[in-house]
Amino acid sequence: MLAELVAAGELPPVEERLPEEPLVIEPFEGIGTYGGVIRRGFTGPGDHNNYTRWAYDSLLRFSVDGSEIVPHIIRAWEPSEDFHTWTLHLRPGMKWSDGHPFTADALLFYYEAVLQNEELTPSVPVWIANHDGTLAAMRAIDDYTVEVEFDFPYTLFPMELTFRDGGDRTLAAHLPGHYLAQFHPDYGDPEEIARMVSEAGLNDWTQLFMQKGIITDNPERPSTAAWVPYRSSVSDQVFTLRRNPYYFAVDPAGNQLPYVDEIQFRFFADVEALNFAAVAGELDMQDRHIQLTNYPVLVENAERSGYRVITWPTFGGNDAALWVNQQYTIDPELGELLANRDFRIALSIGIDREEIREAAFLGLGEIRQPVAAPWHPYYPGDEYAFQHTEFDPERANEILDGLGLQRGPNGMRTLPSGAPLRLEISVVPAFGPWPDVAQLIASDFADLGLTTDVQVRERTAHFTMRDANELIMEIWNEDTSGFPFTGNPKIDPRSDPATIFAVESRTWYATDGERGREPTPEIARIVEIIEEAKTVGTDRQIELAQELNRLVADQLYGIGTVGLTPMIQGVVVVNANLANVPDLVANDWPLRTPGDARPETFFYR
Amino acid sequence: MHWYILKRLAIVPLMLFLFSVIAFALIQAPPGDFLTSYIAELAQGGSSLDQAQIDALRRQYGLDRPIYEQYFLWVGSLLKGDLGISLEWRRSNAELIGERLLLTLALTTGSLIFTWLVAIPIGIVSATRQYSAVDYLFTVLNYVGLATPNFMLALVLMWVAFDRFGVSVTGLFSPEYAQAPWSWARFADLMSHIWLPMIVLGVAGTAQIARVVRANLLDELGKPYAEMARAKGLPEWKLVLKYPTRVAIAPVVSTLGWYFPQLLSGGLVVSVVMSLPTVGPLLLRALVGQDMYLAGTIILIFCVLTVIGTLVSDILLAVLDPRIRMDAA
Amino acid sequence: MQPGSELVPVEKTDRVPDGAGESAEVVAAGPAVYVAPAWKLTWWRFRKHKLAVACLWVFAVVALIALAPEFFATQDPNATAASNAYIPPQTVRVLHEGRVTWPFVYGVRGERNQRTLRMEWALDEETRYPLRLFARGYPYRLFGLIPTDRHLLGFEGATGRDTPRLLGTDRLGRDQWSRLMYGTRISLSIGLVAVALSTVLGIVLGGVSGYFGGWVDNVIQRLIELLQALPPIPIWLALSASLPRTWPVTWVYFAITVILALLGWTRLAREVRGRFLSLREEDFVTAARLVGASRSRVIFSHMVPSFTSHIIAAVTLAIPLMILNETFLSFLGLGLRPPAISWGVMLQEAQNLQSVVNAPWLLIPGLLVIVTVLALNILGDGLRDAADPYSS
Repeated sequence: MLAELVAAGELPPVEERLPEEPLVIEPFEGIGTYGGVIRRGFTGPGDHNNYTRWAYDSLLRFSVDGSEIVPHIIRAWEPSEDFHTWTLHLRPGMKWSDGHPFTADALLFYYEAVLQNEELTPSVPVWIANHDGTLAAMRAIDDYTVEVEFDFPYTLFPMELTFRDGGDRTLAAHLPGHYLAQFHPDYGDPEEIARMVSEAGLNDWTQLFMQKGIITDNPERPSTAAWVPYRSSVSDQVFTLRRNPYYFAVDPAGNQLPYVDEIQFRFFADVEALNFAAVAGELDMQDRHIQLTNYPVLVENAERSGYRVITWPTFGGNDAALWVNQQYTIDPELGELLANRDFRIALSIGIDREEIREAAFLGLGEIRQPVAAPWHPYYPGDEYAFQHTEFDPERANEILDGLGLQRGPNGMRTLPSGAPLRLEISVVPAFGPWPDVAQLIASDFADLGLTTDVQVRERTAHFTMRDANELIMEIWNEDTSGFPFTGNPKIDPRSDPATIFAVESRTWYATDGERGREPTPEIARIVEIIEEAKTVGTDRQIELAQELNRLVADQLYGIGTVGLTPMIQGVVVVNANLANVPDLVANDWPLRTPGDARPETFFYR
Repeated sequence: MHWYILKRLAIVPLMLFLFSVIAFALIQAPPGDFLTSYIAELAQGGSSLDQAQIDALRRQYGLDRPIYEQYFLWVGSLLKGDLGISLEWRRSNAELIGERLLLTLALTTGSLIFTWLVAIPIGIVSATRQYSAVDYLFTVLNYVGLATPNFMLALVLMWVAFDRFGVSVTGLFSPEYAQAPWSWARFADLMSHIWLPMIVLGVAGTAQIARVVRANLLDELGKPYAEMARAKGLPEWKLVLKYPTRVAIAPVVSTLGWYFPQLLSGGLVVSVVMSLPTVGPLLLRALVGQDMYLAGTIILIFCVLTVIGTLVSDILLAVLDPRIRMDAA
Repeated sequence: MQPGSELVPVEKTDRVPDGAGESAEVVAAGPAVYVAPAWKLTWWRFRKHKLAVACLWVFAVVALIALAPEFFATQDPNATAASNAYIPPQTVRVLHEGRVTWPFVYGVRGERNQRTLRMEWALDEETRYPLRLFARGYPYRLFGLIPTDRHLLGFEGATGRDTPRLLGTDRLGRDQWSRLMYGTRISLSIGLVAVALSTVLGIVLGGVSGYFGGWVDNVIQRLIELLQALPPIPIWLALSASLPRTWPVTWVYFAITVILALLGWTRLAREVRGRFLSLREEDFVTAARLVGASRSRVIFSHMVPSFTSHIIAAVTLAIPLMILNETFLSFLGLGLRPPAISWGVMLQEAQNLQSVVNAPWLLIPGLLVIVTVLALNILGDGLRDAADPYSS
């Protein structure tokens, strides 16, 4: 495809398009051949992360197994001795998808035009803030070297950089300033900008700038990904990507990647219709939106529709944990009970997890608490991973009896005061089997004499109630146990949106103790661990993470059921002829699966 | 006559104003706003925005202003002919609705034609063979058509079409034609996809119309002129087709007005299940996501179409039947 | 005219008893002639419509199930058993080893196919469960009052979760036969209660509109037009999303019923108004007014009875619409949600490829919807034909 353009003189030859030192990507099976289209499905503009995950267009990336950070746009990086300053080395000769040189300007434009602009960035994001909340300093040493300086030892900075790829429809940390400057009043012509704003029917320039700067909305924006949007956006019926002739990576033989010419995301209004298209062999590589429930149908039709099905289990944690509110105030007596660790242990051993695994996860996965995966350095050991997961209703009943929860005439327990005891599990019909899990748990609890209602709620209602601290228990996953210190870890009470276990303490931390409720020592310890981990070396981080994972298994804020299943985007339908798709990759959002499987190297046999 | 039309016309702006208020109120009724549901959607995907980003977005979208102000902003721009921008799709509503409206109309017209082609002959046969086995068979089939939840039918037929005939019928276009400009090839592609949704959508309508035709035709056939023709020795099939059928079909044609809006909502679930790029799923999605300007605009367009439809059919009726004017006065 | 009165001998009158407003009080001297009240005439005509009568029986059975689903169920509809997922319907047989025997059901054995992860079930011809009528099963309260453990069907030698599943099981191993019985109660009662509510609304508003005419009529007619022009989806969505988030399932169920009724009365109101408009001009109404009958007496003693049968027909035709609407709403996730059991919820849970392809028996609730709606439609049409004095 590109050779013709080169021959026609529309494109410089490949040697001139590649940087001096291109990134070499090791394919899973072998060197491929060029050409072909990969067809995928997506569900509309809300599904922009479908692109983000596929492109994985970040400054640094995670390795295929998710264990370490590897070079990507940034060729090399090193900290100062005290971890205050990070030096980032870019690739000389690397180019944007329009052929414009990629230099330190890409990072500095983001720093100056976005981070330092109060209209675009009303408050400094935590990942690039100093301890005192001010913006860290960034400067260019030369065209290909950038230095970022913090006022504290910030060991997690490189990991944060892997997440700044423009996911969630935000601006990426490397921006094409040569293109975007025209939409920014500090650089462009204010009158022209005003004209464009009103022409597009927008309110102000920030809207225009965001729209132009986010690649899924604007196919004209130059990019550094392996494929770039071609005359379409995420709001179209088909969102097409074409190969980036300037992509900076090659295979070990020196052939420029990617192998496949075009990616087509086709719009489906309904997930089940997308699954149907997968069964009919109309999608060449689909992991997102494939339902675990449909696994048998997918496998049974694989041969006739010409695809194979592989599974990528989730990256540790838990795929359906029962989170228990530790600060429930609507009924103080119930709130006290929920905050009692013995009560939570009784709940945990009262759940028949094997039943859940069979019914909701087709017998896949592992019964476990929401801790890191066994192959992960943060794993706290089997004794913690499986703690309180045995099904022992007898002992559960003993504990409940011991807590003074007497059984009434109908066999159901009451609170110690004699008031009725009524639990509720709130669940959002997301990811397929959660409402089923909730119902199975509720019936197990009923067997213990605990009246438990299941409320299947629309997600907005659920989140509004979560923020208002009105939920008693919820089913959610814990997919951040491998990343407890960055992003929005589920176990960090300060995360927003967090899980429900300490909503009041989130307010407490956000208002510096003015409002909300002071956390218990255990919850406070979580925050201490996270804060310390940001500033220490890897060995100490592992120690801290293991301590955190032990605390998770001990305290049972989130009672784990089953983990390591392919529930979330882990059932992968792959065209039978598509090669280099790994049998196993670490599957998680921070890793941008399937981007971390290196789709650049996929090719058609 | 003119008075009547003027009077009806005079109410239209008032109705539209009421509709715009109701539409806006309906969208605002559920708790939360577009951002709450957007954040929830992100969280479901495992990611999140920090408070600063949320605040910036809320300001950008004008969601921090009082509701009445948001309403007047919306209506103000509508009056200027600007349908606004969708919060979720980040594209102009006119574009979004426009590209789907055409396909919705094509689908509606298609299933309407299917309905008539099937229903009218069935109605005629049932009427001329009243109480025969054929009549009973069609009657029962009609009722079954009316009673079947069409979303169930859609998925089952989709599977059967794939499993037995190897054709896949999700969407209205193959990917290569979905964005292409109109051409014969694209039209042919549309035709190869549209037949199944047409059938699914048409089933219930067929049953209804066949019943009406049958009943009307039975009335006509009992009238003296039919007896007269029969007495004169006109062959039965000629007699039936010559005049009574035309009279029997007339009321069916007059239902055209309400057919479109009905299909738009009735076809919604089918469109969702079969992933058809029509207006219905767009509306549903906008409502669930509280994309208020898009949802409001679609509802309003809907209402305008219905108001115009009823107005035109009322005026036509008034022209045809002078008694109506007395009644409406 | 009193509904339910026996045949009354009356004097020959000069008007043909056509059922419209004929009053049994009009009695004069002379040879006795039997004049039946309107509803009775309707009933006689209706009885001739064999299909409609059959449908009345079908509906009666469905209604009976709705009254006492516990009695018809064989298992607790919420009891889950993961190891029993996706069991196909276990049919009742009368042939065993070539001989006719008392009806029985074979046991099943199943395991998960390790390649496709699908539960695969095979007949276990060693185990036979003979069918028993009025057998003992799980305890419940009949009509919520009488404690009992008798069920219509039972299987000898099978208890609890082994009880054969006549219509198979769903993904959680729940017995579909029993779920269907319970679902019938919710779906049918939603249909009936919603129609009852909308009938009251429709008759009152339609009647007022039709009788008074003038500006009252104008306002009500514009209101109806407004409601009919609005697409129903946003109204449903707005109303059901505005329900308090903490409401338990049963309250949501009643709220959904009310919502359906609030949106469903307009058709009926139009019909009633139409009847009123035409009746207003009828001689017997004018006559009643001339002899000085009060307004309410004119309406309730003369006009309402004369179109009761039409109302019954219209109502019968409205119920299936409500039932379909419930399935439609639940399908969109706007209606009832699990753990509530209704036909719509069951159909919604079956709306995935796995069910359609590998467990088609999970679409049986759809068949029950079709049968019920069909029966009510034919019944309604039969009633309408019978109520129409001009039909043959």
